[in-house]
Amino acid sequence: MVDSLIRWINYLVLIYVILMELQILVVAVASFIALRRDQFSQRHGRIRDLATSDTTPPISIIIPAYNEEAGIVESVRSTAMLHYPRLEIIVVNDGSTDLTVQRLVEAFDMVPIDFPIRPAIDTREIRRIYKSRLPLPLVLVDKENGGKSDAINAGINVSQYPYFMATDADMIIETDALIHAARHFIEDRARTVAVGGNVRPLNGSKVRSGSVSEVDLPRRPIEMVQIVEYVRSFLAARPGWSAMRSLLIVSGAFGIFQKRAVTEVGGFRNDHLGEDMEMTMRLHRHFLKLKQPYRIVYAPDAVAWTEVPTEWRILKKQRIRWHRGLIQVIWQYKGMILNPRYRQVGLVAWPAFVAFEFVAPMVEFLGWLIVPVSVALGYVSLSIAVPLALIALLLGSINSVTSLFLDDRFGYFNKAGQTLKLLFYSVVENLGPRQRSVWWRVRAMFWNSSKKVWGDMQRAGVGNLSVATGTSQIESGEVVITASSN
Amino acid sequence: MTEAIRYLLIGLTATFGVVAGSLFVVKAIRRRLRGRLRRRKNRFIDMIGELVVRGEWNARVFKRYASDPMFREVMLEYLRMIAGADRQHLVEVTRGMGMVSEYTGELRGGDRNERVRAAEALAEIADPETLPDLVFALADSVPEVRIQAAAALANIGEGRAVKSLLVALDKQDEGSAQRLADALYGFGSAAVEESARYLTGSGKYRPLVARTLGLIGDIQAEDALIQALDSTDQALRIRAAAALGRAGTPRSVPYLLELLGDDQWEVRAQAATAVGRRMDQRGVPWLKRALSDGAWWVRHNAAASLVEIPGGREALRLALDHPDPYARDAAAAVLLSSGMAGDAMGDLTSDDPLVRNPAMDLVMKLIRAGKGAFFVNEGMPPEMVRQLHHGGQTVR
Repeated sequence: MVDSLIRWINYLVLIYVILMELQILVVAVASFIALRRDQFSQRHGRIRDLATSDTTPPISIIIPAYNEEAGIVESVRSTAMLHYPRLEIIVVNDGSTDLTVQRLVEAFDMVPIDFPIRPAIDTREIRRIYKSRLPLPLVLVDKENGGKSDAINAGINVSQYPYFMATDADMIIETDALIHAARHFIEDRARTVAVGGNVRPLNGSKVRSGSVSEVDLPRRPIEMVQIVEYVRSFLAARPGWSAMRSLLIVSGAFGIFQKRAVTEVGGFRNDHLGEDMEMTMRLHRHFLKLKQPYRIVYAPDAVAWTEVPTEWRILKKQRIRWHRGLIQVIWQYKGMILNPRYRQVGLVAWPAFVAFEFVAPMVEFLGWLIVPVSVALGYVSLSIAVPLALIALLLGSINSVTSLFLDDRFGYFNKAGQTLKLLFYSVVENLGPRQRSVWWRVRAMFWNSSKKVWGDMQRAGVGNLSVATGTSQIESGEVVITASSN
Repeated sequence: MTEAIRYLLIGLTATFGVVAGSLFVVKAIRRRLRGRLRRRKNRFIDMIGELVVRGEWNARVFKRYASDPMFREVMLEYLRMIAGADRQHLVEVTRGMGMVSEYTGELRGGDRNERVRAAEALAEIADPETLPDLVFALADSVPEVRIQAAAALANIGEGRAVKSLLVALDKQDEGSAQRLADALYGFGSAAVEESARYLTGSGKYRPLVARTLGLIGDIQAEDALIQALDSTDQALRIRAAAALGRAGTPRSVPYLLELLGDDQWEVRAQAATAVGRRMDQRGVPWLKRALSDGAWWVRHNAAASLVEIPGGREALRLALDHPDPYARDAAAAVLLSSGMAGDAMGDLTSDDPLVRNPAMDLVMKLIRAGKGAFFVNEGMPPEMVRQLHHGGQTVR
């Protein structure tokens, strides 16, 4: 009886893993088709003309900042270099305890102004608003501490334009990224409520004057593993889900939203660890409930770069926070699961997400416990257990390599050494890092610390990486990011 | 079962090998090909450049490489870069090479990729003889082909294509319509007459055309734009007002002033900005009234426009004594952001009472209007701000 039960659990785990990897593969195929279609428009749609067109919708860029004195000035300078006809930059200082405000005031000759605000969303009190006297569309909102979401909401209240982009202070946005994202609003202004961008790890690449001058791979295994993960998430999954009108996450690091839609649903929630996913789900629920046509799309060519953790300790905290956020969102939107009222989101994407993102760590964890025990007790022979483990490993590796194929459109990492390194980590990622990540996610289910409204990762800032990290190198004015977190 | 697992394992291993190997091969090919193509392209760039400099338009080389895609690409790049008689010669050469006829053939009968590439190439060549084919392409089922065809027509710039473009405009989705309207701008003044006629009709994208007319800035469109101000379509009224702000004459000013009484605040706000752009003194009393508008944007735009108009700055100073606190606030905010407040603060130390006294008056009024924080931040001692405040309100 026990023998049979354990054997069946083994088989169930295997079936689950196969189903999960197959689902990833199916979405990757959908992504491939979507990317091909998108590439045609990119090549032939005269996208670059939009940079000078008067029809390009104006965008407010909201940069929430908390203790960002190290890099906030460079971040604003980098943002101001974007090729876009009409934009305003709104830095929201969320009650920083350092010199974030002073740095901005000095660097951009900012003066306090009496700026009338239409408070569409409730936020913590705004202390003062500054405007730059330089020919730069820069506004600084100095408010009381209330968390990242609260800061974004304050930025929304202050913003002038009908669209806003929420980003992080340490992001490097490619100069034409906004154009690529705005294309979707131009194509379907009435229905498009959000466009998500493609976030790539910056580690290993060279940065010059606030923009990425040379894309390269990092040295550390922890960074390489994340490169593979990001490519898989942003190129093998999101384009496919977007094509199926079921994109469930518009990244908080690079997402453009229609202001009216966001204020209609009440702005970003401050009690969530995964505020970006929560907002995306809320928009889906809102418009599907009202039966109003809408679009939430992914723009693969709208690229922004971010530093990823370089220490396992930081990565652990980040992943636990992400998974806690996921659990919060799943709990809040459980009513949408398999609910026909929410159409493709409720019937396909959301259940798949719950089944393969939320449940996966538990099943995988169970598998690692049960398989060795089964082998040790003789319920399952080694000749079956080893091939089963290899199957799981191969499926994961195939998915990663497929993602790398999709990434080929960007033309990065063409050197033989780089390709080999990526292939190596596509396999190695499944031997240790994946198990570690699963363990963190299992822990996240039972982890219950106080609410953290700003991430734990400390960053050196785009312009000061060499100074703050101590391990970065300066090569003829360029900064190679090798270890940017501490 | 064991057998099945073994086969599955073998299959997956093979799949992984194939996918990984393919990725490696694709990257390797790209690496090699890229270098080779670059060298080949550079050779053609030198070759064609030399022929263009020497004016050798009948060179055999043009025929020899006529079917080479890379050679054609370089030809198109040259067409993009050069102008005048040389360009005209090169267009004739492309005709002689059979490129133009080939592209027009593809535009009418090729697959999706061929059609879009042909339209792109014809946009670079900009040969007036291809005009009928490009007009035909405006009805293509692929939006990218239509957009490229419209760009090609704009590059040719012949006014007779404008009507076709406007007819095609109404059949577009919103995204393509915006791009076609952008192309319309490329025609410049040649587009004005037909576009003005379109504006007086019932076309679906009249707001876009009104905007384009404003960008072109030709006063021939003024009548049609003034007429559009009476439209029931709010978007059209807004775009027409903005266009008149850019491209109107003093004749349009009374109509814009009338628009300051529109039911919709968005229209009033745009009208306020447009009046400022016209810099017409007749606007001053109207804009002063608009400082008390119920909508913040209208008040703000009216105040910002007053800064631009001769005599408007004085009106703004006087508005600091306005009985309506909202009008005072709008005036004060713009006086601060326009730099007038900063200048006045600088003048406080002047020895000349004719400079110092008005500056003192302005600073005091701004402080009373609640802008004391600005002066404190600019270095004025808080005690002095309090003294200037007089009325007993707290400094914000």
